[in-house]
Amino acid sequence: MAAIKSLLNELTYEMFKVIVLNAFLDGVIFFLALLLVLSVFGMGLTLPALASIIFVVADVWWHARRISLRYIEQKNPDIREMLRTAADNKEDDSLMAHALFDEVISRARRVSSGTFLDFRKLSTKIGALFVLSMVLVSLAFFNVNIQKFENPLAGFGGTLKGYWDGITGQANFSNPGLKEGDDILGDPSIAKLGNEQLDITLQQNLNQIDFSNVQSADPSASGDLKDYPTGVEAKASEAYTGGLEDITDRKTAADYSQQIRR
Amino acid sequence: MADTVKNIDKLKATFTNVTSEISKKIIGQDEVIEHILVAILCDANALLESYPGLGKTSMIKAVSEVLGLKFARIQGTPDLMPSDIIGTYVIEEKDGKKIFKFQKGPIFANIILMDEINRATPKTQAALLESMQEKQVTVGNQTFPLDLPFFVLATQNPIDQEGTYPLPEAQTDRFLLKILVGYPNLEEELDIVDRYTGAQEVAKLKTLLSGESLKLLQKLTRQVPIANDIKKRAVEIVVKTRTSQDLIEYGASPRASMGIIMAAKAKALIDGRKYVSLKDIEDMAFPVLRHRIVLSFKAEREGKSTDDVIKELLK
Repeated sequence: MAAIKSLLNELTYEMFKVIVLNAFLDGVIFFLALLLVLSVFGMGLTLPALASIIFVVADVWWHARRISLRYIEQKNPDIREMLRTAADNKEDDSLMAHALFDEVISRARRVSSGTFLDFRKLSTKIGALFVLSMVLVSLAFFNVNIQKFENPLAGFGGTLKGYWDGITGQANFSNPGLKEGDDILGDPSIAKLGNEQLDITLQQNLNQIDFSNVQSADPSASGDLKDYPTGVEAKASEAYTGGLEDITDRKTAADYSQQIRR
Repeated sequence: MADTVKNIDKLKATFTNVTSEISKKIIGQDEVIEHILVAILCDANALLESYPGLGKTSMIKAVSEVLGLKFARIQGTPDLMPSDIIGTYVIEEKDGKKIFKFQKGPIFANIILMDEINRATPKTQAALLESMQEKQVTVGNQTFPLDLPFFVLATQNPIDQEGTYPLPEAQTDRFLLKILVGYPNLEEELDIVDRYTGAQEVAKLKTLLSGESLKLLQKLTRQVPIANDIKKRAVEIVVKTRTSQDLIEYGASPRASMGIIMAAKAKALIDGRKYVSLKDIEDMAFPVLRHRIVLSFKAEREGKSTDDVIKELLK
């Protein structure tokens, strides 16, 4: 009986849609979980994505081959016996069989994908997705990486310590934190504009920095005029007594400061 | 075809009308009436067991009236002869010649009420049972087909067994159902008293079906589809009667398996369903099996009835 066979196919298709939806959700959960584990080891997206696609395909295949009338019956107990009888007698051409097929078809039309959805399971999966997403976002924020581990609190602790040392006058300036060639200092060519040797006298306390004692660059220190100093060096306990009038190339200095501002 | 299929949807209404028409005369006993209809739809016979005075005769008469069938009643007595049932040759004079003419007995009807079948002698019982099975009677060397549809509804009394010839198991097996007719409850009995002792005449019943429509319904009953697992369940129940030796001494024959399935199909049709449900099988297991199993000594000692044992088989 063509009608009943097509009905059974329709029901199978409805079930298949639910299987695909479930497999997709499972796949996303699997992807996020894998990403979570692998991101700790600093691995990229490719492996979790590939593994998840394989997982989804396998999940759909596994469940699709297990689609049976029994499952449809379980989900629709009111038409269970009717459906089973129709399926068992689908080749029957009697009047009663036709009447049964008509009734089964009219009642089964009301069966949609929603009938096969397990809403409790679905909400659990969505909850799991949310939790995994939140965990991933949090990990990204703290940049946790076992291979290239960066203590997110280290800088914070260091700042506190520096602040405390500053207060107590025990600051150690031997390592200013920036080194020659660091990106943050800009292109070294910019620094070629200056030809003065700027010496800053620093007292023991941080608030007693004196910028007034700056003298012209000592030619013997910079050598040829084209070889400008590339860094600013602070020398504690050595004051410079020269005046600002001795600066030889004011224009170059003005350009230099403008470029720095830019 | 489509119109005929739609007419099947009206079957439930037809059976509801039939039962409500019968209930104009018979109060209560809905299950008994349903089982009688089941037997009729299965083109089979039924054995009714009840105490006297419960309206078995009135009930069967009412059924035959509503179904538009010819009714005959035979009272079982020890001196009842087969010829009293089947008929006999009588000498008739025609044109100055004496010829033998077959005088049909009461069995030439559609519904036969064989009252107190166990009071008839085994020879008479055998004659009746043969007609039930073959739907024909043979007198001398001549065979006469019976009017179709043909049903025998036999009754027997569970008490007052003196001077009776209880039906052997092999013969009770030919009845599709053994229907127990119970006492009505208080309200039903008050209704019965009012209806039959008042000045108002009991309503005349309308004929709703005919022999021909009944034959069509019998055909439809056979066509009711049944799922394989439900069919298997019916057979398993019958097989269990043969394996549960602690409760049952003699189990039911394969005829019981066929009987349960047929009866379940008829019940489905009466209920307006186009398929047999598991409940139909379980409901019909009682009237189909109760006269087909012989309880073991252990079950009888424990005071179990046949229905108790069937209930255990269904678990």
